[in-house]
Amino acid sequence: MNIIATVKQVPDPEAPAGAFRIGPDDRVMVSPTVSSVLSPYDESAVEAALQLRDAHGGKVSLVCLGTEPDDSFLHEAMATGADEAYLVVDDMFQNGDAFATAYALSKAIAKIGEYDLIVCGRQASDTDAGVVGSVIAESLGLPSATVIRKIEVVGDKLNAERVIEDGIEVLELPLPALLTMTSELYTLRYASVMDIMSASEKPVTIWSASDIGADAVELDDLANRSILRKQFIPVSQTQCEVIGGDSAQEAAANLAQALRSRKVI
Amino acid sequence: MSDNSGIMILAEAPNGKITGLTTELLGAGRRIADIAGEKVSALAVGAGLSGVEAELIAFGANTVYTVDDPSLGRYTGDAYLSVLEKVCQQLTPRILLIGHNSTGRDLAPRLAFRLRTGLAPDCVDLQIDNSTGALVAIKPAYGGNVMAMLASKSQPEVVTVRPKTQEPLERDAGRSGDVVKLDLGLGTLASRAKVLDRIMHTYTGIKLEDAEVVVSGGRGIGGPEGFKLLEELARSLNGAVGASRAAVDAGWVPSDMQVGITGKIVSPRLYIAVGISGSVQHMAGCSRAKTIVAINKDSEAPIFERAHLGVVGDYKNVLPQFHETCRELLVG
Repeated sequence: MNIIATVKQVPDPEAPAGAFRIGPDDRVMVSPTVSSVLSPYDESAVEAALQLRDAHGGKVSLVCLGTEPDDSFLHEAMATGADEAYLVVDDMFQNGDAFATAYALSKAIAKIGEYDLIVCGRQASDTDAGVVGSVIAESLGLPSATVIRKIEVVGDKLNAERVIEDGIEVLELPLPALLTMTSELYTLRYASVMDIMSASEKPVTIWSASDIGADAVELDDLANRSILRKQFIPVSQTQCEVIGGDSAQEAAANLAQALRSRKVI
Repeated sequence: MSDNSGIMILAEAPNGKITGLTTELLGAGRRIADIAGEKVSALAVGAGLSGVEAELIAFGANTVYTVDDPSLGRYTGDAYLSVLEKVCQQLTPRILLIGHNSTGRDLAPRLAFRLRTGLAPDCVDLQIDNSTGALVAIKPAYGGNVMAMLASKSQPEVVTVRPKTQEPLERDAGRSGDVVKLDLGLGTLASRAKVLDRIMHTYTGIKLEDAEVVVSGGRGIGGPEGFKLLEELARSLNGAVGASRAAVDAGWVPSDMQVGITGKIVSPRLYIAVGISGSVQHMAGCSRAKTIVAINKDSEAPIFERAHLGVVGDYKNVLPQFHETCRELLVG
């Protein structure tokens, strides 16, 4: 079974809040001190893909829309077991919205051609939007489902557990299909030093817009309807009153009294 | 410019009862409609919607459109997408508000793509630009470390709205409005993704999202046993227990207890964060709480920048006495 996982490089979401700043144009987030990582939900998508390949055979291909023709990130990402990777880089897609990203990725996936399943993270941890996966499915005319915690392939169909409010839905989808993955049951496996070394030998294909048959008129029809007016860092106005006492017990009792005097309890 | 007009909200009424999020969307729709000089309509899609119309009007809809079909009882992707696409083409709303829940996450991107329009996902605030009248939707990014202000070049402007961020109107049965049953002529509505089963959690106590008091534990709790203290406190305060992602990822508590940007959004009267460092991603789930209390042994933890009251100390020493004094105050 051939599985495609879309992957994105993001600023480390675990970085301290103070590391995130907005540039002088009020638009672009700058975070010079924050390192780049594979978006955490994409890790779950990759792990799900690897488990399905290990169980059913076939291969796992990573697809990424990048800003530079630098394939080192994809070599690192393949260390956990993916077989090959594709990197799309073109000025046409720079500063595009989620629909532009989905257009680029769907064109690349169509060019790869042979696939049974596409998995994406439920949302990237930089934009937290959760748009790209579903729009790839629409572009390719595939059935899709979002926020999936578990996949089982049964013949030419798959069963997927979708997280909903207060429970889960068990869905059945025909293949090929696209699923966006959540993290609870798929934690990405570790790569050994040997894995990391051998990943540098795995193939990365770099494609431009013309390589994947993308064109500016079609992109304009399908994407970039949103305008990012500005970005800003939210300011917390909360003043914390730290309750003290001669001992932890006294501080605890004082805290309860403080809540009572504020009529909270 | 297009001729689209009006603000439409997608109402959800599983089992014939409108959800809290639906009333929040109506509240938001009403507020921006009054500034922009627009009307608010509610689109109810489901099975057995009689009675739902009056409730939607009582919570602020000028017009209620219903698409009542036995196959639409619960959300399925392709069927709902066909309905929404057709409705937007026929009724041409200027703004479409959808809740950012499991339905909205699945539906809105596909709908916006089909309508060739933009999407502002997971928004926490909606404003109307004074000079141009344009809608500006505010959406957290980078886990809430950054806020983005989004406008749209095309209509309908599709926005998904984060739960518990918008104030509903007071229910007023005296409000009047129109009800229009839509017959879209869509024929049999089927989805390629078929629902085989729904497994719902059973709750013995108070539901986390509805609780007036939430006691949450994080990495600092150190293991599943520590959550017993939190449960006892929650019981005395008539509340529910939540957790940070760190505690869920450690396997100490189930994932449906997670509070945060990808977990539950809560807005209780009192939120007690125990052993939680206070990441932006976690605070996104509880920042609407009226009073936030932090108990943490690390005085440098970011939670103390977001809490109203705090005690610096090990929860094992603080919580038992806090619980005891609370009990005395509640009895007294």
